[in-house]
Amino acid sequence: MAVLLVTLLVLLILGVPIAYSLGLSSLGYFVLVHPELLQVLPQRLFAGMDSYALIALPLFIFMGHLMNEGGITQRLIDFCMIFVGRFAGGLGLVNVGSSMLFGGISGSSTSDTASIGSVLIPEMRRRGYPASFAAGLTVASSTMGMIIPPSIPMVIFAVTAQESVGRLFLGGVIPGLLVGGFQLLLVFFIARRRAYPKETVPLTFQLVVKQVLRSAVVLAMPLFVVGTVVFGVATATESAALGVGYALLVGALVIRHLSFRDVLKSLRLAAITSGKIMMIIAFSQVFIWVLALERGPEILSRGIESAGLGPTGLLLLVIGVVLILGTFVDVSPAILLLTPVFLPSILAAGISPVLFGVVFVSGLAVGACTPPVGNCLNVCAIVSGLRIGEIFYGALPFLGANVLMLVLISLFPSLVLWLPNLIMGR
Amino acid sequence: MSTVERFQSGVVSWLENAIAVLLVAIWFVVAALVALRYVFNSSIPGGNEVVTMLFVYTTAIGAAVGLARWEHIGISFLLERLPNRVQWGLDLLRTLLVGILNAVIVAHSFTWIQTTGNYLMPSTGLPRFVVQLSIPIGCSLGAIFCLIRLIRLYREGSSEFVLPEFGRSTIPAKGEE
Repeated sequence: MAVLLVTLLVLLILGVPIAYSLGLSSLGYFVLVHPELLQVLPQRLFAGMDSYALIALPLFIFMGHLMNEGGITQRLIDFCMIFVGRFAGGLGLVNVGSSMLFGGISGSSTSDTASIGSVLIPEMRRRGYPASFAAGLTVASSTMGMIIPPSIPMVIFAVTAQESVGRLFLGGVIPGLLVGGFQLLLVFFIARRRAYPKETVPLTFQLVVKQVLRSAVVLAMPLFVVGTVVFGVATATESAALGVGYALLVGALVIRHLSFRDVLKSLRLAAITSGKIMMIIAFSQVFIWVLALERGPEILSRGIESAGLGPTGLLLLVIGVVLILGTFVDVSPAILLLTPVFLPSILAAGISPVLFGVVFVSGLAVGACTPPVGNCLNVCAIVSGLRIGEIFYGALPFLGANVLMLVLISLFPSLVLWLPNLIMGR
Repeated sequence: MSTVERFQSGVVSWLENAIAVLLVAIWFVVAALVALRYVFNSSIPGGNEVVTMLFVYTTAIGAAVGLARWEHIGISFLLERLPNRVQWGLDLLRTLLVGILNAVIVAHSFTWIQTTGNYLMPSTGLPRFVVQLSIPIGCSLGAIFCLIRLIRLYREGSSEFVLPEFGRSTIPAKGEE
């Protein structure tokens, strides 16, 4: 097993793509230890792709691209501007508010960073906000994309842990809102101390009604997508397909910003992005198979259980491991590789798998914003033209809000479990 | 742009359109299944199997296109700190390793398909090899794209080498030419 892990690490450091690093280290194992099992390689690769539940992935990605191209970002920003723009640090507050809403629509933190960042970072810089503050806030607030439903990583976790997608979606609502609330407070206090500008917003009853009506069709989308899963109307895959239909209708007929060319572009991008993520998932299945053959998850689980940590201690350990590993490992492979390691101990300790899933994904969301491997940081670097170190420095205080939320949900599991139990029963 | 690269660019563009069509088909069938269930209390026999098949092909071909554009997610923070010549050498090595992996998978796919490919799928009644073939097809394309990249890297040498940035394409996507 040591050879397998060392090979993986070396390949990752050499810059071999994550999916192929997983595949090559497994290939190395087969060649050196079990050459008679080489046939397992294509077989497990295929098994990793052959999943109806994972079809939700390309459809959610497609939906996110359609919403991006369909002019939704500007509507969300306009909507938030009405309510929080006139306070100190107004654009910062709009940034967080838009991410809360966008996260509830796209299910992806990188989409959130790219679309909100490309509009708000230049505008915030123009209004005198430091560049690292604007970019850092954009990255940190985009973590809500993974926590607030619908969430692509939650779907991957649900498939891996064989847990209900609806419960995980609902479990992420309060933690996501907590992160948003904490970040709004932080922006407000920092802005007051540093005298960041307020925006001039003519606040009249008619304007508020107009903006609410303009945005209602967009704001209804997360309720529609999550509602269909939670109330058993559709599976996650079907709900994603319905979401695509909704996004097409809203973008083309209501906002009238979506052209045929945009749809084609979104289709191509979604298919390629999904192919890249799915290859990581598929090669992870090969890698996990080899690990299981070497009894890796079993040995690690036994080690965790023998440490005799209580449920809270175990969750805090999960947070620690995820925060450290999240800096080096991307979200999808981390879910696929670590879930089988932790899940037996989590279940043995009587912890709800939904609580574990939300803690796990929320921890990985922080990892997406920390160097050296942070997808949101990379996207933000492209959007803002800043160096990754500068962005991370700006994001650091706001990521504290995520860590605070993680500690709170570990100490008070009801923050995660109350809503799914209320709506879907125990 | 050499003839081989022009050929690759054309093939990639065609494949991109093909996977876009597959994704539309997936969306259409899944949406139709929901509509039929609620409106007509009916279903498409084997619908779930068909979309899963389309999904497997979309993934296999999408991954190959990702290789052609060298856009797969990886870690580059250490490479960026190395001298240009070492970066070039490591890029050659990476491309070679990924190409070999794809070739090995293709070679071993046929034994696997011969063993299990004739079993029939429960709903559609189609033999399993119809969908299993996606693996050797996707990996063959991946191996070919790696070979083309390897030749290009070798021909260009280290002086012209620029480390591909995360999320950017080394071969322009359609419309970016």
